[in-house]
Amino acid sequence: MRLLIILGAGGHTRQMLRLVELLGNDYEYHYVVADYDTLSATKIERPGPVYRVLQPREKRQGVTESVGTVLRKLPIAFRQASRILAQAQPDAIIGAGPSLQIPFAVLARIHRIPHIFIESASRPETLTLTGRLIYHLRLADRFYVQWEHHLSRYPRARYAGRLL
Amino acid sequence: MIFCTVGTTDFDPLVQAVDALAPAWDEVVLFQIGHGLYEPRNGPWFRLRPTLDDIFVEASLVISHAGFGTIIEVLSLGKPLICVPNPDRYDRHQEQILRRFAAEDYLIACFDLTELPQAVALARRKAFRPYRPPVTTLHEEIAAFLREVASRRRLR
Repeated sequence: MRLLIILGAGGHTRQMLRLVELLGNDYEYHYVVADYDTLSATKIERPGPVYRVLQPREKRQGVTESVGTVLRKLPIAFRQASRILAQAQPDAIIGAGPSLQIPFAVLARIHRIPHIFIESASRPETLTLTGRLIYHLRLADRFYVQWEHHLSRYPRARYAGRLL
Repeated sequence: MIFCTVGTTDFDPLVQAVDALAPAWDEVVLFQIGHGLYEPRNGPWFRLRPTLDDIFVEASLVISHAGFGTIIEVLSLGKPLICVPNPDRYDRHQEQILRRFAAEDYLIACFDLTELPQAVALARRKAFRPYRPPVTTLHEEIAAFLREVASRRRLR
């Protein structure tokens, strides 16, 4: 089975690499990383093709100021994502954000590719914007939170412990 | 060696504050300053490196921004860590995990740079709780889900 793992960048990457380590050798792994993150790809221990994509929303930006950037970058991000899906032909997509996962989530719905979203462990209080979008638009077949108390606000989510 | 690191962004106020304190400490201070404009005077510095692991291993204390990736990396290596959230960043959410981890004694959180000297003094005598990756069954649930996906596919 071939899994497309959205590594993202930084702390998102670390969580997904722990998951890959725990999932073990039964799968074939392909990876997606943010183009600005030169580090994430070097930390991969179960090798596989690595695809680089644009991060639609810059971390420094707030919700309102990022609208322009997002509108400009989103079409490119979608093109990149569909090219990667055509190339990788994954049986499932798994990721913990950040926003670069959204185009994959939408395309997974369209192409009926099973998609698992894991909200970052770094958010014990509030979910990420990406997480909230994916939850409310039902863009994931499985939605995991890594802090159990989120379940009261997000009843369709699941909890199975924390990766980090 | 004390290692001050800001990750891939910039955090001049932290670099400046540590640089001002460095002469008072009896150890070399090494700086990783990212895209910052302020260049430290009281210790060697560099901007970015592909990995910081080897430096973390050498350090007796790490003073860093509050990126979750950095926090996990330093704690996994068992190093004393002081974390300072970057108030310039819109991404204030960093403070969530910082407060949580500080409450559990994994690290020291410093929310005000004027309190950095006290934080460093505290780090020298504090017994930090060793960080271990938490126990999870997430991978088992996901493996079960993937088995379901595979069997559904065979049925089609």
